[in-house]
Amino acid sequence: MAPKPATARVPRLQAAAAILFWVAAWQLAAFFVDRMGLGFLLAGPLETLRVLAGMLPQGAFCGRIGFSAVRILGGFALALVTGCLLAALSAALPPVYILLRPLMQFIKATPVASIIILALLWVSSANLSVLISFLMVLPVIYAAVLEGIRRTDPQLLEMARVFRLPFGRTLRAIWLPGVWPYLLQSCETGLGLCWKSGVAAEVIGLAGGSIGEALYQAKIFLQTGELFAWTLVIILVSAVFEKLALALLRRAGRRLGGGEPLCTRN
Amino acid sequence: MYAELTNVTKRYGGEVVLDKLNRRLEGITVLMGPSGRGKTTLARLLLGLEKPDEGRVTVTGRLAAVFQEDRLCPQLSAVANVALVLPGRGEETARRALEELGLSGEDLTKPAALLSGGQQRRAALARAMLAPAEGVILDEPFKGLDEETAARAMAWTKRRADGRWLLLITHDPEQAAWFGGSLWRLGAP
Repeated sequence: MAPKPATARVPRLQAAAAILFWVAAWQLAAFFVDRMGLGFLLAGPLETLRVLAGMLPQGAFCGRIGFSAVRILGGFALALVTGCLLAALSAALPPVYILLRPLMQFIKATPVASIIILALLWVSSANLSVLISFLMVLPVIYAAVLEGIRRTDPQLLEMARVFRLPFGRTLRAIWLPGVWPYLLQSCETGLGLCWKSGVAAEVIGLAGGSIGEALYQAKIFLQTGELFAWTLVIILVSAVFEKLALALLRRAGRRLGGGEPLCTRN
Repeated sequence: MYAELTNVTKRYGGEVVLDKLNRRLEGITVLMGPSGRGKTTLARLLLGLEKPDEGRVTVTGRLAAVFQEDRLCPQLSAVANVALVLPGRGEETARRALEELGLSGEDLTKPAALLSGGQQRRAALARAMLAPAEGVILDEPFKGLDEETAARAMAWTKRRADGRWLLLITHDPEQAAWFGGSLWRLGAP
């Protein structure tokens, strides 16, 4: 069982106060930078919100979010399915594990920028973010699911063998509860990762109609307000999708566990 | 239906745990012996979880077991744990059996991880005795039960034996005498 990180739970009021402190510091820094005549270097929170409010009614705003979300989350979904399948195969067949180990290590160790530039030779810039978010998330899901499979209670597996439980029942009663906490944790990590890497791919590949392209254009024309507004959008959209996906997975877990959470890990 | 051990020898490292055992198991057999003399190893050989170093283990039909540990799925209820090994849905059969063993109300439906040790043991016993099997191995199935509950569980187990072969591993001479059948002392000096 992996030990829980030693982070203390912070009361909501204190957490909100901390956020307010940093927003105020940001505003103050932007104010002084502007006074120095370098306003284009840093947009403050109020300026960011003003620009964001101006962007909201534009049809292109939602279009860009939809374009990026479909591709980035598509890559994530592909990685989720492929990672689970490859992990199951690796656990069942040692040669598959031996074969995949260097590949996963290579993907993990290679800088994302190198992969993006290389991938640009293979796929169109419009679909680059699908491939990049897939490649960034795949090793995370694969490693976590494999760990979950390996840590599944061997005594319960012996019980299933003795009672000759059908595969479906063994999967539902033993394998899934063993793997689920690892899968949830890796999805949480993977969802953050896919947005970061996916948008980076859009920026480098200049995918037309994407958030990444808007971010790049804002930088080129020194529209710092737009740059900060789009960054805020990415953070918010990523957080919303992360919450949604994890809520869906937890719900699926409760259904599989017969009404109880599947997590048996603390 | 029976199980048969023919010249079965099992070693761990250099140590011989079981030495040329020959025995046919039919009806009720009570296995007794000091700790560390291979009772659980013998159960694992019969269950096919380990292979003998020499000799042959023959088992006809399917087996069920109460292991030394309860081995219940912690997120499932006692009813669901028992029904898991039954053909079809089997919840009603499981519920009735657990009620006969003294579990009731929410103890039947809350996750097994939240049950007391004695309740978990009885759920493991119900699972073994209800499973469609021709032979049942019970490794100290009544441990952790108070006297009254153990007596009730023993009577229930004997009723449920239904002509199958049953191997009861116990340290308790009273339990052994009550079950009758054939007494097998393993590794007695």
